Amino acid sequence: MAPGGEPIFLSLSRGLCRACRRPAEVRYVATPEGVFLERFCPEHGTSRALVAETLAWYLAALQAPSAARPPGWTVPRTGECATSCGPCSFHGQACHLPVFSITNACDLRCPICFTYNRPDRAWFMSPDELERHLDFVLQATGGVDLVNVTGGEPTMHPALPELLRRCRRPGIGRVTVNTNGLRLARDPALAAALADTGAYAILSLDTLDPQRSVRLHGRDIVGEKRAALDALERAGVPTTLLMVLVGGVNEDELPALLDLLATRAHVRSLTVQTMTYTGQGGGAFEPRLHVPVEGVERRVEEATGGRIARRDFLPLPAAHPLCYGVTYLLSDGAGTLHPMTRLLPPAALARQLADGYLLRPTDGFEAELKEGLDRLWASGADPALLATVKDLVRSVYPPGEPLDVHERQRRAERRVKTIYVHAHMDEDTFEIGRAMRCPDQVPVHAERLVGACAYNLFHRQRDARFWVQNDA
Amino acid sequence: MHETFAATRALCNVCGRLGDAKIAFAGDRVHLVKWCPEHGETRALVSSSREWYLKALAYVKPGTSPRSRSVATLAECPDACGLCPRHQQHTCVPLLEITPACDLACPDCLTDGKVSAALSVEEVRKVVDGLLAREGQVNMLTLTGGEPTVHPDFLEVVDAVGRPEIGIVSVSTNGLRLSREPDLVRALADRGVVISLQLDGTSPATSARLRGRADLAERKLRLVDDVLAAGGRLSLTMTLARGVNEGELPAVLDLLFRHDGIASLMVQPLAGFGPSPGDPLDAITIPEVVSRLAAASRGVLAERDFTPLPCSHPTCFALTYLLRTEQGALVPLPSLVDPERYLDVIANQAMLDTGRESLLAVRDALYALWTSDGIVPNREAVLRTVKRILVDLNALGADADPRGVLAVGARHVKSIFIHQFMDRATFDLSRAAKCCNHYPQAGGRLLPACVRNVRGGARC
Repeated sequence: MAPGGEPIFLSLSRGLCRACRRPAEVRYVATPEGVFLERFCPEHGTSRALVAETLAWYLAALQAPSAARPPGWTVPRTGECATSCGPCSFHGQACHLPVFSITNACDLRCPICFTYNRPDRAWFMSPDELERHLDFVLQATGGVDLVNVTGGEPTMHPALPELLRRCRRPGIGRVTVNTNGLRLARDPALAAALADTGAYAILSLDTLDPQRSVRLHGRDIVGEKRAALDALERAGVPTTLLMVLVGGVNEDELPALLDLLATRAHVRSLTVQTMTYTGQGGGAFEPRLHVPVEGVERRVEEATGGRIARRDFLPLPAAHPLCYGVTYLLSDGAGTLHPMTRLLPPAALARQLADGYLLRPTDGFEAELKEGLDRLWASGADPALLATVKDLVRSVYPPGEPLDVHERQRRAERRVKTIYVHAHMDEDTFEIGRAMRCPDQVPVHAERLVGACAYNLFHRQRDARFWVQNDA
Repeated sequence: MHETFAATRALCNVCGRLGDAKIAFAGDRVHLVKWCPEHGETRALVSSSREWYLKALAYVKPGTSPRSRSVATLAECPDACGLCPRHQQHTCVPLLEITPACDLACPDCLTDGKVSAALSVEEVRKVVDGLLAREGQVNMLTLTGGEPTVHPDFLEVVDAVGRPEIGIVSVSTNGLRLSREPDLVRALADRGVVISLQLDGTSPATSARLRGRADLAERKLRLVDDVLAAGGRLSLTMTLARGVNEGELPAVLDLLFRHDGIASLMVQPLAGFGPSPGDPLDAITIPEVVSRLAAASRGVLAERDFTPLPCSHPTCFALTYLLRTEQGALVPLPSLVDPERYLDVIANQAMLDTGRESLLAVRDALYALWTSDGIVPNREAVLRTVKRILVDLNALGADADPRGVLAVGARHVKSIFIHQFMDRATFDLSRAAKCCNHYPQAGGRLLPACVRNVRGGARC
């Protein structure tokens, strides 16, 4: 990189002007301070947002294995990319994670919220309506590994268990449900009901500090979060912790969350979403410090003293490398996590991920694991680590016991934990190249699938249930 | 089935409308896919190798700002170009169109009709003043057209641009007038002008197909001899056309390798201009040229000897340098020096730089070679040659006149460039934004070559 010299121009594309929301030419530009998306609006001039901390990371991410498969089902294109998404044949990725919003009700009003809720006109998706949307998604995709049920706050839906049961059908591998945990904390029956449905919980947990909780959520809900986590543990609900990393606010809480990932058996993964400055809360949040995927990876490296390093992450092959990073960590069950990249090269992990979010322990993977084990052994690795790997192989590939891939996946996840880093786009970071590769898609009126950030930035406002025109 | 990689801005193949586009992989091939509200999806091949394309993207270096910009305010890309403060590279290779007239009528001409009238010598001076106001100095200025040698005051133009701030003057020519006028050849040789000769091959069939005249090849080969006999400096520019002259590469390389006076070869895959632009999915792209050059070089070159040029957009150029030993053997420089150092040497110039910094970088790279224990081909001969270069360079000193440095380079180093011009189908705004080959205009504007060629001169 230039030592303080001229910026390095990388590429250009189309984005959005925050001020007038008109399409704007955007450019990826590297400077000594990082890689920025720089936008130019003839009326509002230029502005920029950080998308990677170093040029080296950015260039490596571009070269990483990708698995962009065009959608098999598309709608005719009627307008510009993103604003008219459906998807059309220009979209570069099939839907791998349909995101169902089942309510616009929420019992919080978080200053960091990037969506719009309407407690004033509460709406709850009926089980039949959900069924119609599922039919549509399955017909459009031919089946998905994952569906995500979100809101609003899904636990406010009076028929949540019924909805989750409706999601259990052929063609759907797993159901995840987002929650702020408030109701889980006070209703012991809810965690058990969730466990019955087989759904995985995604518990928002941004901070363990009461004052920051007020800053991020409008009030101190740390106690409720801890109670919700315990309730999920007691009920045996596999859980993802979802942290919104807010630049300048809660970056130093990563170690505590990593510790929960390492030590709580039911916590299978940690998703770190970087703060998105859009929506009813986020749109006005200050300061607007964009943390890119690389920024989270660096902070994980610092938080773990390099035990989980930046090089242990790979871009999720199904998505744009600026949107998703992932690392897999072998847990020894005693609180230590070993990055899987020490066992298998990132390319081998990318192969197993293919175009999905979850490692697929196929038959070929057994051989790769065993080869990795041999390499580890030959390099004189710690016997405890070798034992952990052997244990993993025995559990996921029990001799003489044929298992389907989903069962293998469930078994693997007890021993292999995951950190996902997910950077959504807001007006400052929106760029159609990322939108085109989005695998997280929102079914709209059971007739369109819209990439999640395209939905948040352009489609939500067409639906009065999820939009407040002049939000104060 | 294709794999979407990234978005850019590009032109509809049919109507040229600027809009959303993406880079997508179709197997190992790289396509530019465009969407137009009127004509739907159109596409063009931009690289025949996904691996080369991805690797090239990592060859990036900071741009250099010109001293000042002709278009002072930020402007819409590309039609208001000229350059505005958003253009990401200075004018490394100015191409000065001095006349629209030409004594040939090539079917695929890319400049046809874009120059309105010949510039007077006074106008040429003004354009050069404007250029130097932006750049301070330029290493090489190319006179082009039309056919520059048919300018009525051609030699006066040459003298008018032969200023101390301009290192080398080169003339991009079809050679027709020069082949008839040995006095003019001598005049150019005496002035140290590089004759950049369009030479697509040595067979009459190639000339007939690409230039409309079968007798050109023989005339050009005679001209090569005449220029060399006159002590002139030559470089060759070859247009490579699918199904026409791929088979001419060995003969053209042979000319380059054989003659000390031919310093460089530029290979330009034919861009889609003219009435029948060809199948945009069957275009010749850089990785194919690299592979054909390696195959045609009789073992002198390997594909790995070529690298993208990082100062322009890395998908626009590829290049290699060959060291000529004192025994006449040719050894690719990338096979001798540390790739990182090599990259520094070629970083910000489309020719071996004559600036002080690059001179020192070359010297460092060569010293490193001198002291390395690496296994290099023809080691003894190479080291003797390197020593010779170091002696010559040191004799010039760090404040050397660019011409002197270039002369040292020309004695010992040959270059091969591949330049992928864009046409309407392959035009990618991400590439245009970092273009360093500009046409200076009478009004002071500097137009990137492909913006000019594809979008025309109407707005200038």
